[in-house]
Amino acid sequence: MSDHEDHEHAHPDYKKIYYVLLVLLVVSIFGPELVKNIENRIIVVTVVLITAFVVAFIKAGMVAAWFMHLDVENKIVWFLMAICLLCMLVFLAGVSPDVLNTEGDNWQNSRKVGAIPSKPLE
Amino acid sequence: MSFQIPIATSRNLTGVPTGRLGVWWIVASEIVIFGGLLAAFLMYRLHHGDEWAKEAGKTNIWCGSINTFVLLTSSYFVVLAHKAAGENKLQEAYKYIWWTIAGGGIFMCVKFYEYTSKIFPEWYYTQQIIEEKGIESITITTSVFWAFYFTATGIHGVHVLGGMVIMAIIAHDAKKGKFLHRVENIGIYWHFVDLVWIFLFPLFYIASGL
Repeated sequence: MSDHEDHEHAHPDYKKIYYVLLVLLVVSIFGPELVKNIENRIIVVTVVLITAFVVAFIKAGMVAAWFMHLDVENKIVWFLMAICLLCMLVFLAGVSPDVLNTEGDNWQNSRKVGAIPSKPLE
Repeated sequence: MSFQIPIATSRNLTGVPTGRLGVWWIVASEIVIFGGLLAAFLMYRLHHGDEWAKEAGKTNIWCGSINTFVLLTSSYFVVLAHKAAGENKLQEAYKYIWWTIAGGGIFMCVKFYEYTSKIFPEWYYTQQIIEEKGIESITITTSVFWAFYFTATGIHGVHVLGGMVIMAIIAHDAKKGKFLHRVENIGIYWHFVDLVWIFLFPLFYIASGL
Protein backbone atom coordinates (compact mmCIF):
# COMPACT_ATOMS: atom_id res chain seq x y z
CA MET A 1 0.00 0.00 0.00
CA SER A 2 1.41 3.36 -0.96
CA ASP A 3 1.63 6.31 1.38
CA HIS A 4 -1.05 8.07 -0.56
CA GLU A 5 -3.58 5.26 -0.48
CA ASP A 6 -2.94 5.05 3.23
CA HIS A 7 -4.22 8.57 3.87
CA GLU A 8 -7.48 8.71 1.98
CA HIS A 9 -9.96 11.06 3.59
CA ALA A 10 -12.85 13.27 2.61
CA HIS A 11 -11.63 16.67 1.43
CA PRO A 12 -13.32 19.72 2.94
CA ASP A 13 -14.48 22.60 0.75
CA TYR A 14 -11.07 24.21 0.22
CA LYS A 15 -12.47 27.13 -1.74
CA LYS A 16 -14.70 28.15 1.18
CA ILE A 17 -11.78 27.87 3.63
CA TYR A 18 -9.60 29.96 1.31
CA TYR A 19 -12.24 32.72 1.08
CA VAL A 20 -12.62 32.81 4.87
CA LEU A 21 -8.82 33.10 5.16
CA LEU A 22 -8.86 36.04 2.74
CA VAL A 23 -11.61 37.79 4.73
CA LEU A 24 -9.56 37.30 7.90
CA LEU A 25 -6.51 38.72 6.12
CA VAL A 26 -8.46 41.86 5.19
CA VAL A 27 -9.61 42.18 8.82
CA SER A 28 -6.04 41.87 10.09
CA ILE A 29 -4.77 44.53 7.65
CA PHE A 30 -7.50 47.14 8.05
CA GLY A 31 -8.39 46.60 11.73
CA PRO A 32 -5.22 48.25 13.10
CA GLU A 33 -5.33 50.88 10.33
CA LEU A 34 -8.84 51.99 11.41
CA VAL A 35 -7.74 52.81 14.97
CA LYS A 36 -4.39 54.31 13.99
CA ASN A 37 -5.44 57.88 14.80
CA ILE A 38 -7.55 57.16 17.89
CA GLU A 39 -5.99 58.59 21.04
CA ASN A 40 -7.54 56.15 23.54
CA ARG A 41 -4.70 53.67 24.06
CA ILE A 42 -6.93 50.93 25.51
CA ILE A 43 -9.11 50.88 22.38
CA VAL A 44 -6.06 50.85 20.10
CA VAL A 45 -4.32 48.00 21.95
CA THR A 46 -7.54 45.95 22.17
CA VAL A 47 -8.35 46.34 18.48
CA VAL A 48 -4.76 45.64 17.35
CA LEU A 49 -4.47 42.60 19.61
CA ILE A 50 -7.76 41.17 18.35
CA THR A 51 -7.45 41.99 14.65
CA ALA A 52 -3.76 41.18 14.38
CA PHE A 53 -3.04 38.40 16.82
CA VAL A 54 -6.35 36.67 17.59
CA VAL A 55 -7.09 36.60 13.86
CA ALA A 56 -3.55 35.23 13.22
CA PHE A 57 -4.24 32.35 15.60
CA ILE A 58 -7.59 31.65 13.91
CA LYS A 59 -5.93 31.68 10.46
CA ALA A 60 -3.12 29.41 11.69
CA GLY A 61 -5.67 27.03 13.21
CA MET A 62 -7.62 26.85 9.96
CA VAL A 63 -4.50 26.19 7.88
CA ALA A 64 -3.27 23.53 10.33
CA ALA A 65 -6.65 21.81 10.70
CA TRP A 66 -7.91 21.74 7.12
CA PHE A 67 -4.98 22.41 4.79
CA MET A 68 -2.47 20.33 6.77
CA HIS A 69 -5.25 17.86 7.67
CA LEU A 70 -4.37 17.81 11.34
CA ASP A 71 -8.08 17.27 12.02
CA VAL A 72 -7.83 13.74 10.62
CA GLU A 73 -4.16 13.10 11.39
CA ASN A 74 -2.94 10.35 13.70
CA LYS A 75 -2.64 11.26 17.40
CA ILE A 76 1.12 10.63 17.35
CA VAL A 77 1.53 13.75 15.16
CA TRP A 78 -0.48 15.82 17.64
CA PHE A 79 1.78 14.49 20.40
CA LEU A 80 4.88 15.44 18.38
CA MET A 81 3.63 18.99 17.78
CA ALA A 82 2.56 19.40 21.42
CA ILE A 83 6.01 18.35 22.70
CA CYS A 84 7.74 20.93 20.49
CA LEU A 85 5.31 23.69 21.43
CA LEU A 86 5.88 22.80 25.08
CA CYS A 87 9.68 23.04 24.58
CA MET A 88 9.18 26.50 23.10
CA LEU A 89 6.99 27.61 26.01
CA VAL A 90 9.55 26.28 28.53
CA PHE A 91 12.20 28.35 26.73
CA LEU A 92 9.95 31.42 26.84
CA ALA A 93 9.09 30.96 30.52
CA GLY A 94 12.71 30.33 31.43
CA VAL A 95 14.24 33.27 29.59
CA SER A 96 11.56 35.95 29.85
CA PRO A 97 12.26 36.93 33.51
CA ASP A 98 15.87 37.75 32.57
CA VAL A 99 14.80 39.79 29.56
CA LEU A 100 11.74 41.57 30.93
CA ASN A 101 12.76 42.23 34.54
CA THR A 102 15.58 44.35 35.85
CA GLU A 103 15.61 42.78 39.32
CA GLY A 104 14.36 39.71 41.18
CA ASP A 105 14.45 38.21 44.68
CA ASN A 106 18.17 37.55 44.71
CA TRP A 107 19.46 39.33 41.64
CA GLN A 108 19.66 42.70 40.00
CA ASN A 109 20.60 43.65 36.50
CA SER A 110 23.35 46.16 37.08
CA ARG A 111 22.61 47.98 33.84
CA LYS A 112 18.91 48.17 34.71
CA VAL A 113 16.89 49.87 31.99
CA GLY A 114 18.59 49.56 28.65
CA ALA A 115 20.00 46.14 29.53
CA ILE A 116 19.24 45.20 25.97
CA PRO A 117 20.56 47.95 23.74
CA SER A 118 18.20 48.61 20.87
CA LYS A 119 21.06 50.29 19.00
CA PRO A 120 24.52 48.75 18.57
CA LEU A 121 26.97 49.83 21.25
CA GLU A 122 29.42 52.50 20.14
CA MET B 1 22.78 -0.80 -10.76
CA SER B 2 19.07 -0.32 -10.29
CA PHE B 3 17.60 2.06 -7.73
CA GLN B 4 15.27 0.63 -5.13
CA ILE B 5 13.03 2.61 -2.83
CA PRO B 6 14.10 1.95 0.78
CA ILE B 7 11.59 -0.14 2.69
CA ALA B 8 11.33 2.63 5.32
CA THR B 9 9.58 4.83 2.76
CA SER B 10 6.42 2.75 2.86
CA ARG B 11 6.73 1.16 6.30
CA ASN B 12 3.83 2.15 8.52
CA LEU B 13 4.49 1.17 12.15
CA THR B 14 3.12 4.31 13.81
CA GLY B 15 -0.04 4.51 11.74
CA VAL B 16 1.52 7.37 9.80
CA PRO B 17 3.45 6.54 6.60
CA THR B 18 7.17 7.09 7.20
CA GLY B 19 7.54 9.75 4.51
CA ARG B 20 4.76 11.85 5.99
CA LEU B 21 5.95 11.27 9.53
CA GLY B 22 9.38 12.51 8.41
CA VAL B 23 7.82 15.75 7.18
CA TRP B 24 5.99 16.13 10.49
CA TRP B 25 9.33 15.71 12.26
CA ILE B 26 10.77 18.49 10.12
CA VAL B 27 7.76 20.68 10.97
CA ALA B 28 8.23 19.86 14.67
CA SER B 29 11.88 20.93 14.57
CA GLU B 30 10.91 24.08 12.68
CA ILE B 31 8.40 24.94 15.43
CA VAL B 32 11.31 25.11 17.86
CA ILE B 33 13.46 27.18 15.46
CA PHE B 34 10.83 29.75 14.47
CA GLY B 35 9.03 29.54 17.81
CA GLY B 36 12.22 30.33 19.71
CA LEU B 37 13.00 33.22 17.39
CA LEU B 38 9.51 34.69 17.63
CA ALA B 39 9.33 34.16 21.40
CA ALA B 40 12.65 36.00 21.78
CA PHE B 41 11.37 38.79 19.52
CA LEU B 42 8.18 39.11 21.60
CA MET B 43 10.15 39.44 24.82
CA TYR B 44 12.37 42.18 23.41
CA ARG B 45 9.35 43.88 21.84
CA LEU B 46 7.59 44.06 25.20
CA HIS B 47 10.78 45.38 26.79
CA HIS B 48 11.24 48.15 24.21
CA GLY B 49 7.61 49.14 23.60
CA ASP B 50 7.64 52.62 22.09
CA GLU B 51 11.12 52.50 20.61
CA TRP B 52 10.43 49.28 18.69
CA ALA B 53 6.94 50.45 17.74
CA LYS B 54 8.63 53.30 15.84
CA GLU B 55 10.93 50.83 14.06
CA ALA B 56 7.98 48.53 13.24
CA GLY B 57 6.27 51.54 11.67
CA LYS B 58 9.05 51.63 9.03
CA THR B 59 8.20 48.20 7.59
CA ASN B 60 6.16 48.19 4.40
CA ILE B 61 2.68 46.94 5.35
CA TRP B 62 1.60 46.60 1.71
CA CYS B 63 4.53 44.32 0.87
CA GLY B 64 3.67 42.24 3.92
CA SER B 65 -0.02 42.12 2.97
CA ILE B 66 0.68 41.15 -0.64
CA ASN B 67 3.02 38.40 0.53
CA THR B 68 0.43 37.08 3.00
CA PHE B 69 -2.16 36.99 0.22
CA VAL B 70 0.31 35.24 -2.11
CA LEU B 71 1.26 32.60 0.46
CA LEU B 72 -2.38 31.91 1.40
CA THR B 73 -3.21 31.52 -2.27
CA SER B 74 -0.25 29.23 -2.90
CA SER B 75 -1.33 27.14 0.11
CA TYR B 76 -4.74 26.83 -1.52
CA PHE B 77 -3.12 25.68 -4.78
CA VAL B 78 -0.95 23.06 -3.11
CA VAL B 79 -3.91 21.57 -1.27
CA LEU B 80 -5.74 21.39 -4.63
CA ALA B 81 -2.65 19.64 -6.04
CA HIS B 82 -2.87 17.11 -3.21
CA LYS B 83 -6.56 16.53 -3.93
CA ALA B 84 -5.88 16.13 -7.66
CA ALA B 85 -3.02 13.68 -6.98
CA GLY B 86 -5.35 11.66 -4.74
CA GLU B 87 -7.84 11.44 -7.62
CA ASN B 88 -5.01 10.49 -10.00
CA LYS B 89 -5.50 13.65 -12.08
CA LEU B 90 -1.82 13.96 -12.86
CA GLN B 91 -1.94 16.94 -15.22
CA GLU B 92 -4.05 18.92 -12.78
CA ALA B 93 -1.75 18.09 -9.87
CA TYR B 94 1.25 19.15 -11.99
CA LYS B 95 -0.47 22.44 -12.87
CA TYR B 96 -1.36 23.31 -9.28
CA ILE B 97 2.13 22.49 -8.03
CA TRP B 98 3.59 24.91 -10.59
CA TRP B 99 1.08 27.59 -9.62
CA THR B 100 2.27 27.11 -6.04
CA ILE B 101 5.87 27.51 -7.19
CA ALA B 102 4.84 30.68 -9.04
CA GLY B 103 3.32 31.95 -5.76
CA GLY B 104 6.66 31.30 -4.05
CA GLY B 105 8.39 33.19 -6.89
CA ILE B 106 6.12 36.23 -6.46
CA PHE B 107 6.72 36.11 -2.70
CA MET B 108 10.50 36.17 -3.26
CA CYS B 109 10.24 39.05 -5.76
CA VAL B 110 8.27 41.15 -3.25
CA LYS B 111 10.81 40.21 -0.58
CA PHE B 112 13.65 41.26 -2.89
CA TYR B 113 11.98 44.66 -3.42
CA GLU B 114 11.38 45.02 0.31
CA TYR B 115 14.96 44.17 1.28
CA THR B 116 16.59 46.29 -1.39
CA SER B 117 14.33 49.28 -0.71
CA LYS B 118 15.49 49.14 2.92
CA ILE B 119 19.19 48.47 2.27
CA PHE B 120 19.62 50.52 -0.92
CA PRO B 121 16.98 53.30 -0.86
CA GLU B 122 18.96 55.10 -3.59
CA TRP B 123 17.80 52.39 -6.04
CA TYR B 124 14.19 53.57 -5.70
CA TYR B 125 14.33 57.23 -4.66
CA THR B 126 16.17 60.24 -5.99
CA GLN B 127 18.77 61.90 -3.79
CA GLN B 128 16.39 64.83 -3.34
CA ILE B 129 13.57 62.65 -1.95
CA ILE B 130 16.00 60.77 0.30
CA GLU B 131 17.18 64.05 1.80
CA GLU B 132 13.69 65.58 2.07
CA LYS B 133 12.13 62.56 3.78
CA GLY B 134 15.27 61.66 5.72
CA ILE B 135 15.27 58.10 4.37
CA GLU B 136 18.20 56.10 5.75
CA SER B 137 19.62 52.78 4.68
CA ILE B 138 18.45 50.01 7.03
CA THR B 139 20.50 46.82 7.39
CA ILE B 140 20.70 43.87 9.76
CA THR B 141 23.09 45.84 12.01
CA THR B 142 20.95 48.99 12.23
CA SER B 143 19.27 47.89 15.49
CA VAL B 144 18.13 44.80 17.33
CA PHE B 145 14.64 45.18 15.83
CA TRP B 146 16.06 45.05 12.31
CA ALA B 147 18.38 42.18 13.26
CA PHE B 148 15.26 40.19 14.23
CA TYR B 149 13.43 41.35 11.12
CA PHE B 150 16.14 40.34 8.63
CA THR B 151 16.97 37.11 10.48
CA ALA B 152 13.37 35.87 10.82
CA THR B 153 12.21 36.91 7.34
CA GLY B 154 15.52 35.76 5.82
CA ILE B 155 15.30 32.28 7.34
CA HIS B 156 11.67 32.15 6.25
CA GLY B 157 12.66 33.20 2.70
CA VAL B 158 15.24 30.40 2.55
CA HIS B 159 12.46 27.95 3.48
CA VAL B 160 10.29 29.33 0.67
CA LEU B 161 13.15 28.90 -1.83
CA GLY B 162 13.87 25.37 -0.60
CA GLY B 163 10.19 24.45 -0.88
CA MET B 164 10.06 25.78 -4.46
CA VAL B 165 13.03 23.63 -5.55
CA ILE B 166 11.62 20.47 -3.91
CA MET B 167 8.20 21.16 -5.43
CA ALA B 168 9.69 21.47 -8.92
CA ILE B 169 11.23 17.98 -8.51
CA ILE B 170 7.96 16.57 -7.15
CA ALA B 171 5.99 18.16 -10.01
CA HIS B 172 8.30 16.43 -12.50
CA ASP B 173 7.60 13.03 -10.88
CA ALA B 174 3.89 13.68 -10.31
CA LYS B 175 3.38 14.31 -14.03
CA LYS B 176 4.60 10.76 -14.67
CA GLY B 177 2.43 9.38 -11.86
CA LYS B 178 5.45 8.60 -9.68
CA PHE B 179 5.69 9.18 -5.89
CA LEU B 180 2.29 10.87 -5.70
CA HIS B 181 2.32 10.69 -1.89
CA ARG B 182 5.07 13.32 -1.97
CA VAL B 183 2.56 15.91 -3.20
CA GLU B 184 0.85 15.73 0.18
CA ASN B 185 4.19 15.70 2.01
CA ILE B 186 5.48 18.86 0.35
CA GLY B 187 2.03 20.37 0.92
CA ILE B 188 2.39 19.90 4.69
CA TYR B 189 5.78 21.63 4.54
CA TRP B 190 4.43 24.49 2.41
CA HIS B 191 1.46 25.05 4.71
CA PHE B 192 3.87 25.28 7.62
CA VAL B 193 5.89 27.94 5.78
CA ASP B 194 2.59 29.79 5.27
CA LEU B 195 1.73 29.32 8.94
CA VAL B 196 5.03 30.87 10.05
CA TRP B 197 4.35 33.89 7.84
CA ILE B 198 0.87 34.23 9.36
CA PHE B 199 2.66 35.03 12.65
CA LEU B 200 5.56 37.03 11.18
CA PHE B 201 3.11 39.34 9.42
CA PRO B 202 1.37 40.83 12.50
CA LEU B 203 4.57 40.88 14.53
CA PHE B 204 6.68 42.82 12.04
CA TYR B 205 4.14 44.68 9.91
CA ILE B 206 0.83 45.43 11.58
CA ALA B 207 1.52 45.73 15.30
CA SER B 208 3.33 49.05 15.06
CA GLY B 209 0.44 50.69 16.94
CA LEU B 210 1.22 48.74 20.10
